[in-house]
Amino acid sequence: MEDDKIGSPQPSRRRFLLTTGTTLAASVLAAHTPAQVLAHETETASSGDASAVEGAIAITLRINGKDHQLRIDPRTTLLDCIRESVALTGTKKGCDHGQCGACTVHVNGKRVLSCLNLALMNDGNKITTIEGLGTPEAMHPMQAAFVACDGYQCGYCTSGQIMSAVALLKEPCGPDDAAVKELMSGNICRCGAYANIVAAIQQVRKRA
Amino acid sequence: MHTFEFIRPTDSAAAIAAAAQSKTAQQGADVRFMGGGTTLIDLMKLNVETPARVLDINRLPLDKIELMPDGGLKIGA
Repeated sequence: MEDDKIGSPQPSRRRFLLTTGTTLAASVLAAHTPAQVLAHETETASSGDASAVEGAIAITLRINGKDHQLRIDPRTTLLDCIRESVALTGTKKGCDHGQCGACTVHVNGKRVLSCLNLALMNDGNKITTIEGLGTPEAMHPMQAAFVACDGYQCGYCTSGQIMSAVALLKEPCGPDDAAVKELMSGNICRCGAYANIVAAIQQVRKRA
Repeated sequence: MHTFEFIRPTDSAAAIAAAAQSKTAQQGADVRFMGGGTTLIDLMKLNVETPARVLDINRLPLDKIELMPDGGLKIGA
């Protein structure tokens, strides 16, 4: 699914949050002395855009077919790099410890947990995120199946579920539901949409 | 996470040489090999592991599983 563009004239949840967040930050900062403001700005730079960070390393990531040349702090995870530096926020941060699967992306065609990968380990690698699978107008068959089968409730784990499900299609997997459940066991859904997720995957596999 | 030096050795000998300078695990190893990273990165995030140098061995040609003449299996890394 295509991410909402910050500059888009259409109102969106993300644009609203960004705008109110900036306004709030500005009003809070106004109450501080200039020295404190400076410290805050330095802190923001180190956690987000790492162009000003000491020891930043230049890498190239090929994300969804497009090369991104970035300068990042060596500690940046692939997940933070995709979300904060490249601003592709379809990939979600769940636990940030490799237990939930929400951050699943494809690296050179295989599924990986982007929270347990350093961005600089992936210098030159081909990365596919949920934004690279399909668009709202031309969905990937797995995305269409998740919609058709209602494979989600809140949707937070969905991009990770779909990235895992798409990778599963190329992996050795038995025909029955139990085999699909085993291969999807790294992706947790707190809403409990598991039955519909399995149904969506089986629908795609049967049509393939 | 503490800062560290990221090194990608060009061959196994260079990787071994770099790690040989390190303290042992019991003494608080300051050099760590990065394989999959699923445990190491997690522990580095929690500041349980604080290596000064991280050796990324993912691109070394070690990902082989070979059948040995005596019937055993040799697993790469």
